[in-house]
Amino acid sequence: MSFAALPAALVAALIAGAVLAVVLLYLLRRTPRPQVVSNVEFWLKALENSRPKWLASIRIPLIALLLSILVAAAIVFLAGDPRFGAGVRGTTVVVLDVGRTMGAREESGGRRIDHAVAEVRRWAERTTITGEVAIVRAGMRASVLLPVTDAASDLEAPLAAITTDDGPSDLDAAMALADEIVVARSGDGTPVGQIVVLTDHPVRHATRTTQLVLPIGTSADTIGIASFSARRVPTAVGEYTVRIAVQNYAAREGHAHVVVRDGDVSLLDETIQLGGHEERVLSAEGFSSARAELSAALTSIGIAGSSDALEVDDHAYAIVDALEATRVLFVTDGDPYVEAALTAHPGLEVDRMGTAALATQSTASLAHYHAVVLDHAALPAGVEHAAVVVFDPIDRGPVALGATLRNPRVTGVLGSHPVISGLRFDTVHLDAARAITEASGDDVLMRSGDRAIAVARELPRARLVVFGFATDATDLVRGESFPLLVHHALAWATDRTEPTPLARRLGGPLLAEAGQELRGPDGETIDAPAGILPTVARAGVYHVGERAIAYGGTDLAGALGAGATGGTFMTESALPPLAVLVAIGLLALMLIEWALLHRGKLE
Amino acid sequence: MPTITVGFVLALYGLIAVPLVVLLALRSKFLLSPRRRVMATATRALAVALVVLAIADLRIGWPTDALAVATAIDASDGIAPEERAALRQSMTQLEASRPDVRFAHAAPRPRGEPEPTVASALGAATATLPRDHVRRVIVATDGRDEDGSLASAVLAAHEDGIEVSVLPIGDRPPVDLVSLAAFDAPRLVHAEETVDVAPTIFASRETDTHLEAFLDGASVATAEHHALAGDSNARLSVRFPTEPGIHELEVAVSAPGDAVSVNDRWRALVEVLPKPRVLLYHDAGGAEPTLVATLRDAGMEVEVRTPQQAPVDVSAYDRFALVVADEIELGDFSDVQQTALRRWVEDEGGGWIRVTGGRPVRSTPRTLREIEPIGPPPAQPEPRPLELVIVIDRSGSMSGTPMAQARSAAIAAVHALRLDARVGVVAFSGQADRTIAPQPMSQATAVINFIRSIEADGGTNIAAAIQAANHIMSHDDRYIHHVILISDGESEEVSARAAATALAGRGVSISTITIGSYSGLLAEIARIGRGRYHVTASAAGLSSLVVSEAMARQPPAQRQTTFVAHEQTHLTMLDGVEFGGAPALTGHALATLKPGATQALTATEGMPLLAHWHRGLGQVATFTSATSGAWADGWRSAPIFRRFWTALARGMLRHRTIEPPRITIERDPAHADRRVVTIVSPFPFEEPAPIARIVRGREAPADLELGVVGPGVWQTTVPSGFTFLVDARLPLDPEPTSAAGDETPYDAELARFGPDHASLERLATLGGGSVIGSPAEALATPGEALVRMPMRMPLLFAALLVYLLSLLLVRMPDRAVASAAIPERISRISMPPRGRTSNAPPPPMAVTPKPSPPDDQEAA
Repeated sequence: MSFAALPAALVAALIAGAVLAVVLLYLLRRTPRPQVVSNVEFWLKALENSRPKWLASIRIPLIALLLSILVAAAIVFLAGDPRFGAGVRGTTVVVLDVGRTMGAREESGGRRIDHAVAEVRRWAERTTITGEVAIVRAGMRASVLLPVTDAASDLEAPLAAITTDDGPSDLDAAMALADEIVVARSGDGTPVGQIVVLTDHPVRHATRTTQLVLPIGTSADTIGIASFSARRVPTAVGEYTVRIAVQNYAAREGHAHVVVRDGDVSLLDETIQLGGHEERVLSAEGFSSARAELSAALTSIGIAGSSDALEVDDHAYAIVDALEATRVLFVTDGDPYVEAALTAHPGLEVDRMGTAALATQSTASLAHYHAVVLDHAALPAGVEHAAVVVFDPIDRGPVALGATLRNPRVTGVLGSHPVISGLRFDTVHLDAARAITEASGDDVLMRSGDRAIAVARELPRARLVVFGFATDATDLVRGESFPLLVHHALAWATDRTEPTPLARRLGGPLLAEAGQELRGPDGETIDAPAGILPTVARAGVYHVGERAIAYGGTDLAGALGAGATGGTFMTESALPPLAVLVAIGLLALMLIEWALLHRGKLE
Repeated sequence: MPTITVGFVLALYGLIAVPLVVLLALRSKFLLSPRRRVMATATRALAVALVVLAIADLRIGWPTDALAVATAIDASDGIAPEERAALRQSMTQLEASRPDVRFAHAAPRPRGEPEPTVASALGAATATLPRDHVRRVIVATDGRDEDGSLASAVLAAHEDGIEVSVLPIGDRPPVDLVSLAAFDAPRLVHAEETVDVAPTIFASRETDTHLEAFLDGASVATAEHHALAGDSNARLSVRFPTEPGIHELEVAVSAPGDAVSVNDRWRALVEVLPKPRVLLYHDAGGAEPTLVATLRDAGMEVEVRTPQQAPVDVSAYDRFALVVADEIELGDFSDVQQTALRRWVEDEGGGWIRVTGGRPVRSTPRTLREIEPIGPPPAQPEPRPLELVIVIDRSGSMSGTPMAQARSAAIAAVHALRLDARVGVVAFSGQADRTIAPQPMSQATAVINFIRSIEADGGTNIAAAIQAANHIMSHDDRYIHHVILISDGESEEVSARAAATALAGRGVSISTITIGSYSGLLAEIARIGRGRYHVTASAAGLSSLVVSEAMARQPPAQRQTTFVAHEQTHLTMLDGVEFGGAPALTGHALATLKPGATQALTATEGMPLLAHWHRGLGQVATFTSATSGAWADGWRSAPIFRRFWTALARGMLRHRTIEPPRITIERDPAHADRRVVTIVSPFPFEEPAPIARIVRGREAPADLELGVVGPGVWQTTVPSGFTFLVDARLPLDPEPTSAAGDETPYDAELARFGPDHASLERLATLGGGSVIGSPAEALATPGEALVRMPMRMPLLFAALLVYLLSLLLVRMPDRAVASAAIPERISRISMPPRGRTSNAPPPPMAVTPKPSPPDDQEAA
């Protein structure tokens, strides 16, 4: 036992002083002494003798005295800040691993992080007796949880709020930071102190400061989600398919209830049995043109003879972006064929406008649309759009036109171009078409002899597809390939590619544009000073303005190891800090003494 | 304004002891005057409360403007050492000039030991700055925070109450002049392809640079580039070699005055795909066609086969990008072989070039002829009248409907003839026993009657029939002589060919019609007779065939004349091929252009020399002259031959019809030493899974093990720090169709240097500070922090004193109580030994100076 606040000798001296003071107080004769009297004189004398006198008591209530001495000594003792164990010299930096696996529940019931926090307290109690302590949080990023302090009580607030990250800990960076702190506090560059590492992973980072590794955790079983993602089915508008892989990382069989939800809609609700180390892949289908925020959860997990130790791998998240309708402005004075082709595709949101009304449009007003389809029309001068598809172009349009060809045959097609890839034009008949003057870099989609009658042009910030014929001048529109041709042309012109259908990996930044609100997985607003959350360490669906981004840790799912050395947790004291014990005892003594006093037991 | 905080709130529950103290003092049996009791109770309660507050870690805080400052200096290679030294010097001077500020110092490091990262230094400052000061950290950095660790550390420091200001460094002086900051290298190229590579040059100031590209260590391209300050893109054209496989492409930049060389080179792996494979059909026995050497010179791998060796399965064509039928008879392909080839063209996007040579253009075999852009030549208007002999098979197998249809067809043909024509008939079975010599049309009735009298019976002797036709056919030159042979069976071939040859030698053309299945003999007779061969499965269509044959006069199949190819329609694939000065060809097959086809080159009389069209997903081109024969002697010796056939073959190569998988290589945010390779199939299904390979350095490719992570999504992780390339293809593709690479040629901090002002602004915002121009600016603005003093020890000593006071109040002589107590004690005199009894009667002489409280009576 040691005293953190005062030297032990001083504590002893203070206790002696307090005891002396108490004894002196007890020497006060506060009550008359009973005497036998026989006459008035004697009465007077007795009366005189029995008057209270300072320090004249000869009958001290020993129990009361003892209690009082104990109380006084305990107060002094407490002032000395007693601690269990001996002190540690110098600066102790505790590296507390708060990585994903530290949330694993042990057989004893507590989580690894709970054991580690208890150990941190114990070490802080010890180290602040004669030294100082700092705590480095080894999460996905290393950070200082508690700056250097010599007061163990400073720990309480940070430790009370400690949580584990959903991703792995960067133990190396934390060790480097701890080393830097010890060296910085040592002044001359020679580290005075130690680094205490509480982790369930091996420590391989060399430091100048002495390391003391306290392995946390025993091997445990878990059933977790090994992968979870969803993707739209390109051949079925609005549909998406969900894939979830559930893995039993235990050697024994287990079961779990799998629930996949799109908001409140349950897409999958099934209990599965898993053999030892078995992976089961399940799939589900969803239908929604809106954005789907999918969550997967494992509940009612059971493992024969064991239990599911890790909760973080029982949840996963995915996003299916909204089937954002390709907004198309169709400018025509009446073209049933193109309109029918546009209408046939449910992924298009078509606004129709007469050619005369187009003159009133501006670049800004057209920016609402992903694509503009012009039927015998041209954008007004000075008005631009990034994706334009033209049928039956007119002379003041975006491409230079040549002569009108009568009954031209489609004598060549650029089959490798996405606009016409997979489509056949063998039997297409054209009554008439305008020859299009090729520009450098144009891809000629259709050619009649040496004349281009359909071209695709890629500009620095725009794409243009021009078909040099009117839809009422060809039998192409009557074939089943025409809607596909229109769709392909729009798809190429708008250049909208499918995003990678996976949740982002934890650890990366989350950026917001100016004015965009950042919200966390629970809908909470994240205070991001510069519109940046440097490290996303918690899985879930985040919202950046109207955009949803899923972060997941299914790539981190795996068996739970046994800790840094495979050993069990080093020590766990059931006792609270000594000072608290003493304080409780002191209060109890004070109350007992007071109660006995007033019950007349101490007189 | 002082503030009070409680560190251990739970301990405040101990204050429950305070009312307990008061409660216990009620109905007390301890003899005290009321006033003293109240005082004693109050002091005891206060002592208890002080102990509880001490345990609860009560602290008193008050504001302070005392300043503590630490500096975290970016130790990355992107900062010049002299700039760091100058900054430290200025910090020392600042410290000397501001004794009121407490400066935190980083510990000196032993020589040779690496400096901590700026994020680590900032973390150390966060941990060590005194918390009873206004804490500020100056982060001197260029803001190039590749992994986000600095941003995280700045935010963590700010959340701990530290103001982080950012001091831009990195340009006083810049650590380097130029670097090769990024390299957009092609990952998948074709053999002998010339591709632009686009290195990104970063320069700390405007300068001229020299770029050089190396392929497998050999210089292959150089360029001069004027680099602007910051990023600028250069361009180098690199021609890739013929050898397929992995090649190392390296680009180096140099500039006068450039200090650091490690960031001037970038090596990347590029995969050169094998040459396109061409399957060339050619008749066996002859020398290797000239076209083979030409295509090989054009960077293609050519495999020569005879038509008989053609695959019967369309999948066997997958490995080829082009099929050339060079001067062969299409009939040499079997039906199955023809179907496979046609399906490959139409369904798989294959390219097919046919060179007719001297072979006549016919309409059979239909399977392949239908996808050719040319057809048989048109019938020529003939001023001379026709002398026609219709040869009808009346063998036993023709009995019934076939015989009747044959008769009807022959009669229809007679009716269709011009009035100046002559017509005769040979009816044959085992021998040509019934004939009628050609008669003028005035005698047509007799001929018709003869036809009607023909009955089926006996065997089949085609040779005798042809000989009979030869016998009855006149030698009158005023007539065109033509024979139509209708049969359903086979006959002895040698004599039949000989008879046909003899008849054709007279200038008589022979067309043949088979009722039933294909007959090689009749086809051969038609070929010998320069006529046409028709097959009709049923006799129903016989009449129209016979009538059309009767009306048609077959022109010659080829024209041997010298002509110059004329470009009628320009094909894009023939860009750069000039036909203007090309040597003449000396012959071509006669043909007509099919509707929808493009006549690129014209031979004589507007007939197609090169016709092209798209058929299904593929394309077909037919060249009606020759490559090997005498017709092309002039061409073969001229450059036009190589240019034309190279361009045509390249243009006709099969193109992809399936979208390739997407490969992305990203840094794993949680593990800087890993790269995440993701392959996304165009289909959201697990099958077919892409076939992926990884190449490290210049080693042989190894299969990449992928894990399914989503519908049509596969992923794996690869250690970083070395150059690697990943390629992928769907199983349908014989070669990789997409590839991506990763390399770390040098420390990322040397890619771009100098302050990144946008990043610095962001860091300053995260840290709650600002971007400052000098360290002194961080000290200029006042601040306020809260000093929190722990009250534990004062409270405990106060508790001790108050406790002792409480004891004093309890133990101190209480005169009021004493004077009142004497008589009470008298009652005990008669009852030794000492003690108390509740039954004792009240003393008769009790004198009570003043009344005792009721609760004291019992105690007394």
